[in-house]
Amino acid sequence: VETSLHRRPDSFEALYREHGERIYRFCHRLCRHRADAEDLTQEVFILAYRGLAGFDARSSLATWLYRIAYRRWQRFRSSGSVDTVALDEGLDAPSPDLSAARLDRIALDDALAQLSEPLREAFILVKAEGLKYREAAEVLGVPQGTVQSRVHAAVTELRALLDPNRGEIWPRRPARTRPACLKEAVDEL
Amino acid sequence: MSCDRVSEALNAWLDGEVGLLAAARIRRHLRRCAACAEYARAAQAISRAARSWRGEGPPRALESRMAAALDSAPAALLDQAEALFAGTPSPVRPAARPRGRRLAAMAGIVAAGAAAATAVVFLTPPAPEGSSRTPPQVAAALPAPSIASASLPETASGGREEHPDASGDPQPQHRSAQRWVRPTLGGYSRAKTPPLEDTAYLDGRDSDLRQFWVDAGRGAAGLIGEIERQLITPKDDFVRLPAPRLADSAAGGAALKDAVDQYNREASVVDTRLSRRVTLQLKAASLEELCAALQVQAAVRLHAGRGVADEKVTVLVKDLPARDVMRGVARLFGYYWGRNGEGGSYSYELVQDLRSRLVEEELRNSDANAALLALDAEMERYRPLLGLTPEQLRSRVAAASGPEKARLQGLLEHGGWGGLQAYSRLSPAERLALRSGEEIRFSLDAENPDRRLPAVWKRPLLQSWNQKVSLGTTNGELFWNGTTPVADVPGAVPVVTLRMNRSEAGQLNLQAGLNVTIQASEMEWKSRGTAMSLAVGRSPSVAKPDNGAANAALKGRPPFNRVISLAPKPAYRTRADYEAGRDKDFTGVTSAEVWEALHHESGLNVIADFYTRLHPHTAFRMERVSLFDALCRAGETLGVRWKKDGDALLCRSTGYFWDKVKEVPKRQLVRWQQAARPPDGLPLQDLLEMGMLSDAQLDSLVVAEGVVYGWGIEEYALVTPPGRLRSQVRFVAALAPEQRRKLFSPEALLFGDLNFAQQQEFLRMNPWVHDPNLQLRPELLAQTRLNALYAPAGVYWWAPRDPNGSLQVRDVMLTDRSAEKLLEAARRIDAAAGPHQIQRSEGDLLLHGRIGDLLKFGRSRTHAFVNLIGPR
Repeated sequence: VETSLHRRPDSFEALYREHGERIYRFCHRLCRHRADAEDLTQEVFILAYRGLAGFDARSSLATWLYRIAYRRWQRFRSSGSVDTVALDEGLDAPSPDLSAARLDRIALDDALAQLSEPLREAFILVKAEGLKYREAAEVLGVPQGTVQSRVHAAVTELRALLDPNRGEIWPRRPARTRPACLKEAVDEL
Repeated sequence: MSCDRVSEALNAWLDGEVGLLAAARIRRHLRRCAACAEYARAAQAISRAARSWRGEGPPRALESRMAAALDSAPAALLDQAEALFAGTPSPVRPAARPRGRRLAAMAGIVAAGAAAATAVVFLTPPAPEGSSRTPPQVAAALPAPSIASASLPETASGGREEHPDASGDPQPQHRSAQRWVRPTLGGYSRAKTPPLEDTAYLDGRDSDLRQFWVDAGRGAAGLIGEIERQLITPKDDFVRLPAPRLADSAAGGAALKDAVDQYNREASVVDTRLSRRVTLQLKAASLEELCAALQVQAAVRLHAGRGVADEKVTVLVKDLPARDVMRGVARLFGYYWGRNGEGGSYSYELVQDLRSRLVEEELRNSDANAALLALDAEMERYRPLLGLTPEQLRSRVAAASGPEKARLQGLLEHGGWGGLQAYSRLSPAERLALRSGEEIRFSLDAENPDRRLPAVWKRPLLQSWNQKVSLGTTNGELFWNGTTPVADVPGAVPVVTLRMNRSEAGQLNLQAGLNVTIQASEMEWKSRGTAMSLAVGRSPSVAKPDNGAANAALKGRPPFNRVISLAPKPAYRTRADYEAGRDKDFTGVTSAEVWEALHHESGLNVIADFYTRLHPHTAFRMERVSLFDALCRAGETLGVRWKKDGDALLCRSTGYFWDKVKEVPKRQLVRWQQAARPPDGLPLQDLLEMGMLSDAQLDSLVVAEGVVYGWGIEEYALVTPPGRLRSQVRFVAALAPEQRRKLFSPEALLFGDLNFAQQQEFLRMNPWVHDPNLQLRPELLAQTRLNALYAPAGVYWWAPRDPNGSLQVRDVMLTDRSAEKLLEAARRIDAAAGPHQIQRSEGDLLLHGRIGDLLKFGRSRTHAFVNLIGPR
């Protein structure tokens, strides 16, 4: 019996409508560049749609898409065409959202950029995308325990990086605990 | 449960992925263990922040673009999809998509261009016979550029095309893969001409396109072309005659015919006087001097136009017709000789036309752009370092070696880190300003938010300089040689500067500076800076001239096969001579000495441009080499291309279009050199004249070295880098005579006596007046009294010393031509003054003043100070 998670969508539109947002979001976090994320998302869905017949429903469709995205991202990264433009490129949009939550995210993004790729990927899948450790392990192609230890290591490093009293981190983006400098740093953008 | 086990399981627990028993154990542990509880709180906060990302979605246009891409995706994609999980996927390129606003804007431009193109087509004359398309049809058949086709599909009549790649496989059309088809007048030919890149179309590089869209259809062009065909080339081919001038609406009118006939009569004249043979030995002469010398020997009136009179040339010719010299000079510089007067008494004027000037400007622009691109590419190497913490950067330094290590060390030890970060955040306007030579300054309290450093940058900035200070002393020398790192000094204020130095031909140097101001005592602030070169961009003009290849046909042929020895005679003092204290037996030569030696050895006539550049004479010493090889080696060292032209050798600097804007006229150098002779030294008026030279002239260190050491005009160093007095000299130069008199007298010049522009300039020179800590109110600023002291090179000077012997240049500085008289005067102020305190000036200007009873400030060649002098 096909559950909704394992069901094959009828059309490309349906596939994209159901999973487009999360895959795009995942790609965006990996690439840290909107245009590259669009490219990556496009590749993922074209490949997925063409290869939908090969989807064996052993995992959820979302996990399958994540896995495709992760593989394409690895290829993209190894090709050396990775942009290093920050995720928050949207801040120069006409009406920037300067809420504390967004600033926290900005600080987190900067800190994440300093993690090694394995830690970053595991963290994004589990903490940001909300995948189970088992699903993340499937996407990454590593044992579940490895995912768990990577997430733990990522959180530990992030905690240190985001510590406002640490001082020696290069604060390209402000942390919420430094209200005096927040506006200046945002202005810098 | 131990802390280690808990911390490992904590994230799984927070994510709801542990069993009930384990969860209970973790909760119990957290109640007892503050450290783990703290970790859990932090992990929870991080998870919350990560989850807050979930609101972002893809742009709406992505779905439709993807659907379109899916329709046009080649069948090969299916294979890739199938191969994906087999682990053997092949590359696939995405369909075109706009990349941010920049491409969206470009799409707009292209769309607008397409519309404009259509309009032009309707205005162009009908296509010639043989063309199967009328112009409007041509426009309709144009393939739309990929950028437009991506976002504006309705403009693309041709739709998306697939171009086979190198392997022959069809590829989805990418944004840069689309190519225009080169047009010909009257139509486009897809088959006969190679495709043209979009960029070539957009930047107007393709002359056919330009001609097609811009030039065609101008009614007068045909008539002018017809007239030009009737004009003959002047027999004296280095002469340019004024074109016929008339106003006649009838193309075949009598007036037109008369004008053409008159021009042709003039053009057929050969001035026999120019056949007189001349012998010239002019080294680094101005063109005006050349004309004067040539005039004497040829007995023909010659002079150089005002725009070119100061250009310098070396002419070493023996028994050569004056005509050949004039032709050689015209060809070398790209100028022409204008002929005036009547037959038998013609006079000639050497001038540069607008076209030639524009060509030079274009050369400078393209050269500068090439250097800029090279510099930007160099800066790209830093991009991976931008997000690194200082620790990470330090670990990189430890792991690096060679030049890479030095480059990274500069970031951490010489203040380059701040400059690097600032450069990566420059706005387009700031980049433009930087490119135009402006110094971009970033500080913690800048009024302009774009130039304000975030407060959190302060410590890392200070950490990026290994300067140490000694707190508790006001002696500058002791203060800056202490043991406390500036990063540990409370109240230290960093300022970051960026400057793009283009002092030398075809070379851009991006310099990052870090200046730190520290309050040394209640009454005194100390300021010192460091700088490093972040990147250097070199343009093609500094490339080696490769004369061997260019003149390969001459190798082995007489006279170039003649064996010679070369030993140019040194004529200039170099910096090395100066530092070694040599007063004679100098070692410097210029290109003129090299050409002179070659001319002397080979008898070859030489006409060469001249730009001030000193070389050690040993660089040109050659023993028994062929003339060809000697010329090639000399050309490589001098940066000169040479070419045989008739009976003369023409030699042109590869970067002449840069060199000529940096050169200082010889007439001024001669005057300054004569005026600077002891005992009086260079008069102030001449120093002020130096300050009024252009920045391009004053920025050149190569020229400055020639002027200061070669010509012995030491004061020139005041207005060239690294001297920091150019603004001060210009400020003084801009004063009215009465203002200047007050400035150099005890009477002093009041701030209120300055006009608005002068006041603005004063404030620009002294940015510290804006320091909010000083709280300088306008009425206080109005009490500013300005004074200046000028000590030419060779004059002796004395200033008071503080108790520990350190120099205290303040508002007392005595000067005198006689060291003995100066010592007497000094002892009247300070009885302890001794002969060792009397110093010979290398040329200095002290511009100083006081603001009420609050502040004393000043700047000289060696000192800069701002001190409180009373209670605030």
